[in-house]
Amino acid sequence: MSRPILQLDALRMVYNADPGILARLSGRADPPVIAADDVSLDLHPGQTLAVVGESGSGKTTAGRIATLQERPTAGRVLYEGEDVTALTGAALKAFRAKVQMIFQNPYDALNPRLTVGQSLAEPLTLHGLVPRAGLRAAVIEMLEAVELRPAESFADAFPSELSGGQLQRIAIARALIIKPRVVIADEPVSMLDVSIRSGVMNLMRGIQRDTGVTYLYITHDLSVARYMADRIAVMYLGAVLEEGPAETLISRAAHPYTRLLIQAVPEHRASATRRTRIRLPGDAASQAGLPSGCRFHPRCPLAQPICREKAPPLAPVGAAHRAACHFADDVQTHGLGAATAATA
Amino acid sequence: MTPTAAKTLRATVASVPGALSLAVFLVICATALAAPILGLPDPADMAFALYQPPSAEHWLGTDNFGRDILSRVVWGAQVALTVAVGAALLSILIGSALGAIAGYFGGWVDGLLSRVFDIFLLIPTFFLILLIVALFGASLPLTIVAIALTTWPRSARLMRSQVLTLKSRVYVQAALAAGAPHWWVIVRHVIPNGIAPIITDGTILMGMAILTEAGLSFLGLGDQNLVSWGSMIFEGQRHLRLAPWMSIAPGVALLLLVASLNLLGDSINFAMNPQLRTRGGAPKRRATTAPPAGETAPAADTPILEVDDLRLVYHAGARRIAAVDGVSFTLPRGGSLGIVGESGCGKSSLGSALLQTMPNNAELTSGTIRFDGRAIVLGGKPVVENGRSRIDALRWTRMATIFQSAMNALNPVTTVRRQMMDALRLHKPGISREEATARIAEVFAMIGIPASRMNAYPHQLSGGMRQRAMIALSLILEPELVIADEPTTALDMLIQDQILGEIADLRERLNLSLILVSHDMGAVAESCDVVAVMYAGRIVEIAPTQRIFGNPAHPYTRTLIGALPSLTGPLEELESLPATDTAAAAAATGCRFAHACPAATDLCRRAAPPAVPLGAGHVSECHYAEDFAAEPSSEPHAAPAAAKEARA
Amino acid sequence: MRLLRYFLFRLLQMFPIALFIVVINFALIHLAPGDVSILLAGEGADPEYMQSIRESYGLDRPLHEQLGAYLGQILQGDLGLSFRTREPVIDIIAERIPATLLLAGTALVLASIAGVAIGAVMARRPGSALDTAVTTLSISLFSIPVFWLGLMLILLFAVTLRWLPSSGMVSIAGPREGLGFVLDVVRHMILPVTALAAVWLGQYVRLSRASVSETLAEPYVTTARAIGFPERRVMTRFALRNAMLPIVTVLGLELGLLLSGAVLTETVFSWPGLGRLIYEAILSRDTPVIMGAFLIMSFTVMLAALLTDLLYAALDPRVRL
Ligand SMILES: Nc1ncnc2c1ncn2[C@@H]1O[C@H](COP(=O)(O)OP(=O)(O)O)[C@@H](O)[C@H]1O
Ligand code: SF4
Ligand code: SF4
Ligand SMILES: [Mg+2]
Repeated sequence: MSRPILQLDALRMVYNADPGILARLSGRADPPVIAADDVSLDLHPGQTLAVVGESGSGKTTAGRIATLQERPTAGRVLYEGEDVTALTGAALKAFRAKVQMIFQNPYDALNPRLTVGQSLAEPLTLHGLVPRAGLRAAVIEMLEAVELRPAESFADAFPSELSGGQLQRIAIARALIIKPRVVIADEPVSMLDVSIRSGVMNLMRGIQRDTGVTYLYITHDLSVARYMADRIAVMYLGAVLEEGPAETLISRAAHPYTRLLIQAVPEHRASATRRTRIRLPGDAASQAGLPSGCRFHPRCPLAQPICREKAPPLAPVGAAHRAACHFADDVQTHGLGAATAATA
Repeated sequence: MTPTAAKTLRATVASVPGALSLAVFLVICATALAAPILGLPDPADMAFALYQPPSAEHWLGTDNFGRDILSRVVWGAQVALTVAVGAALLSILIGSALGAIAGYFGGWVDGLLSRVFDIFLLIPTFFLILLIVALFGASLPLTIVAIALTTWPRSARLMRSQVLTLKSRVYVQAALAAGAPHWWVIVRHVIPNGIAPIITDGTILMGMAILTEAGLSFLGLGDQNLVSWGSMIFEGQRHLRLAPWMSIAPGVALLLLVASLNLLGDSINFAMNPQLRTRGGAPKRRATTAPPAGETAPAADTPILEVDDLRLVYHAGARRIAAVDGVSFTLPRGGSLGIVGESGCGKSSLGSALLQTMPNNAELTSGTIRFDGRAIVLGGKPVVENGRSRIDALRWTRMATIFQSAMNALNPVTTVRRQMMDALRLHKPGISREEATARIAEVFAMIGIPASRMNAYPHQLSGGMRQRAMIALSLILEPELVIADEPTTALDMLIQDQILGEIADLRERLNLSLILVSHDMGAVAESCDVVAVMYAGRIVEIAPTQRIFGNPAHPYTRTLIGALPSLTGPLEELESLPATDTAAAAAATGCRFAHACPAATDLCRRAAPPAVPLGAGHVSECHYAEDFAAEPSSEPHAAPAAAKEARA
Repeated sequence: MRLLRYFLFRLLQMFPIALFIVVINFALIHLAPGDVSILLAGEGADPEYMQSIRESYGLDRPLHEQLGAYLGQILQGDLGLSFRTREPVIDIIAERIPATLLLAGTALVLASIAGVAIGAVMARRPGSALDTAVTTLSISLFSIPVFWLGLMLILLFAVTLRWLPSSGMVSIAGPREGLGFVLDVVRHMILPVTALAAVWLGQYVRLSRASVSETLAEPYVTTARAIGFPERRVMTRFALRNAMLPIVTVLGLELGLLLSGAVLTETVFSWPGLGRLIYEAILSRDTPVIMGAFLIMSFTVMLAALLTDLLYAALDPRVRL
């Protein structure tokens, strides 16, 4: 496999680690939240890594650290093998020109007081990539690339005049206009209507084919991850529970959580028949007060006494496929079968 | 001027108080500026007879020194406006700078500065100004500084909160991620978007400053060398019996100026947030109608709900939004109907019409709703029988609802148990406390809420538990029909799945009739017998679930199905619609989907398609419905092992 | 228990604020033009008294020691002597407080109750012509300079119509006890209370209109209606109860400002309260009284804020204690 272009190495991120004296005195200190706990992920050039997890699983935190919008409590970010974790000033700006970000909410993505053209020109001006006279042409070219035609009239529009799908295309254009090598996309389609979503996803895939850009694609939806990604990492309460090639991870899932996620995807084909659901023992999940042992044990249908005591390591279960479960091999071969039988 | 600023100005002037206050304010400003050229006598000139009442010569009379009061009022406007502008500007400058620093940089800087802002809230400010002026001697500049010294924390707090929200706005984050330095972000993104409320608040500050200065002058602490309205009233007070006009005129001037400023601020605020003026309110009285003649008693096979040609229109300013535009369907007792469509297509509006909980700006323009064979809405009007609306008799006892966001749909200051108790007692006044408690416990157990969470407040529950509590509340009175409006949106995948399973189970166990509203085809696929697809206010296709997935006969349904990535099938390119604006749809003359439809023809753009019956309860509103129906959607493919097992 | 802990914490937070206010006071005296000892003792005070002032405030020592001495004085409840009457400032102030409380308290109770009621009724028909008119009227009400409104009331009801007395709290030759006394005071109260309440009324109408209409737009109110609660109960149980939360906060702050809120009104009506005292002190440049009154008022506000916080915490389960 090629050398990774961007690596997250053993990241740890703790919010509210030190609440301050006043808060502690009053007993109102927010409990510390472990948003990332020993997260290691590699992005390979020209490929897409999808990070899947529910809200609060730390996927957005991982994305924000990867773009250095936030600095980790511990661990490193490597760009082309070099440690960039502590970059500041001009070096940081140069890094930003290479690693860009697309956000979740398209309706808020553009400054309402600037025209689309002005917003798109901003990154070019900031990095001094295109002379003033060439800005307009570059903007038009980019608008064409994200299939917004007639580009001229889109360039002069204000954000309030556009629909969500159009806005997200412009947000993508803004991230790509300075030709970054890596783009971190945080749930870029979750706020769009279903019929518009696929258009945006197809656009992103097309751009990757044409330019070889690398994506870190954050989503809560496993089927979207499968559509977009070469590799998938499943996160839960700040940790990666399973990681592997997209197809293998879905067809040979080795972690009970991944299996449950797969089951939870409502299938929408004509053959859809009612499924037997496993009633999960718990449903609240929060990083405050992390459970002992395996972090998934309060909700795991397969939990055994050992799971409460010993945290399972993220261990190989196949080619480039890792999972953090004491019974990963069993799960991979027998699924949740035993549990289903027990509760049905 | 950006479109927002122009729009705000237009909306301000469009309201009566806005136009009036702006006019008064401008007239006062113009008069004050023109004072030297108006040909008025010198305000300090004691040239005239004392104590003259208003006359043709001296419109507002003369005072105890024989000075012309009109002239003094006009010149006094200059002082008032100087104080207003000076104090407001100073306050905004200091306040926004410190507020922006506190908000933008956060951390201990914010902690310290916010403390200081808060302290000023706890100081009797008028008194502090009094103290300063009394100690340091009265002069206009000092007064201005003293006023600003006490009002800047107000601007600072406002700016801080503006910056705090702006800081988390995506476009600010995006600019930072694009490599923009802090000063750039502040100048280009934060200040232009955050300044509007602060300027609006400036008008209020100006009013406060004028009143404060007048108060000081009235206490004899005004600048003795200037004509101030406050000091005019101060003098007038001593001659109140002899020459009341001395104090009337400056007071009216004060009132006019301050009121126009306050009203102007208020109008701009309303213009920027129009919903502030009209939101909320009690349900308005609507025209009602009598029950139709010849209604027969419901039989066993009477559908639980029949809806015919329902139309709901919102009035938003001058615009009419036809959110539900001719919807008809029938739900058999014990049946389940899924309503699918994207946001804004009118799903929630339809739900609110069924329950008659529409907001006041909504109106049913036509349509009949029958519950168990009896009309509750006829020709768009609620049916009233024996002085009581029929829907009122059905509420919660026979027809209940699960709202989308349980966080907001449950009362935040009452425990979950208490809310259930209240609903129970409302409809069963005789029920004993023990019976009620037992019933609540029963429903909680049924829906999977641990008994320990019964006395929790909504905010103490996790998202999934809160939604369960909402479901429990809807079931407490054993209704026959439940309308669930996106009950699982915004929940995590596993919990979504659990709750959908819970709803499907309950439906079977309790023989509920169910309407499940969702934007997600997948969510309704398993829970509903029949699926209706809504687009721009109409049901464009309705069919039994298997059929709509197998033979979708409307291009929009086909895209909805084809646009979903599959977890089990092969990786084929997803279908998508062009990113056009759906707002165009409702205005279309022909088919409302024609602007985005991949199969649209000239006929489609010209004529609205008829409802084409395709047999077995399958109806599609498309000119080419039969052609589409004949061509089945792509077959489901062999599923990988894990997914197969999941379905076993 | 948690409430107690919260209370103690809030109390703790008040100390720096109290200190800050004392420091402002101290700074003002020292920044003001003129000799500090004269400011504190009064012009033309006898040299002996002047000397005792110098000593008790440590005016010959460095500034930080002076601040310490000043703090010490205040902690002992010693706010100095009025140089007009040579009585302790604290006694003079205490003597005036009941009259102010009577006037401002009555006005506040009337204004808040009426204001909340009117605002709530308006919130039921937002955007109606009546609502717009009432909004405009209430904005105009709080735009009136209260002292001028007082004058106009005097002009109309005392001077022209001669229905009510124009100043003071009691008639000079009136009864001093019993029902007659009470009625006499009430007659004197009518005009100043009206002036003060009118201005505050405007504020409470606005506040209540905004707060109630916001709650009425909340989804849980729609839930209540869907459940079938009659509109009257929706209004009281759901809308008003929840809308009271922000109103309580403002009311609490207002309560704290009660003592200083009436300076202008008391001046116009010669009401023998704290405000009038301050006015007189300003006219005669009686600095110790002015400073003392400022301190007392600031501490009242702090106390009121503290109580408001507690009340809010008790009313709203979402407040984290
Ligand atoms: N109170 C309202 N006033 C004006 N327009 C409204 C109101 N509520 C909804 N609408 C409009 O009505 C249409 C349908 O909205 P809604 O029923 O909420 O759709 P859905 O539930 O399918 O998302 C949308 O265009 C929406 O903007
Ligand atoms: S280690 Fe145990 S609790 Fe954790 S996922 Fe595996 S089986 Fe479940
Ligand atoms: S009628 Fe025409 S435009 Fe409308 S859905 Fe059918 S094919 Fe498309
Ligand atoms: Mg909706």
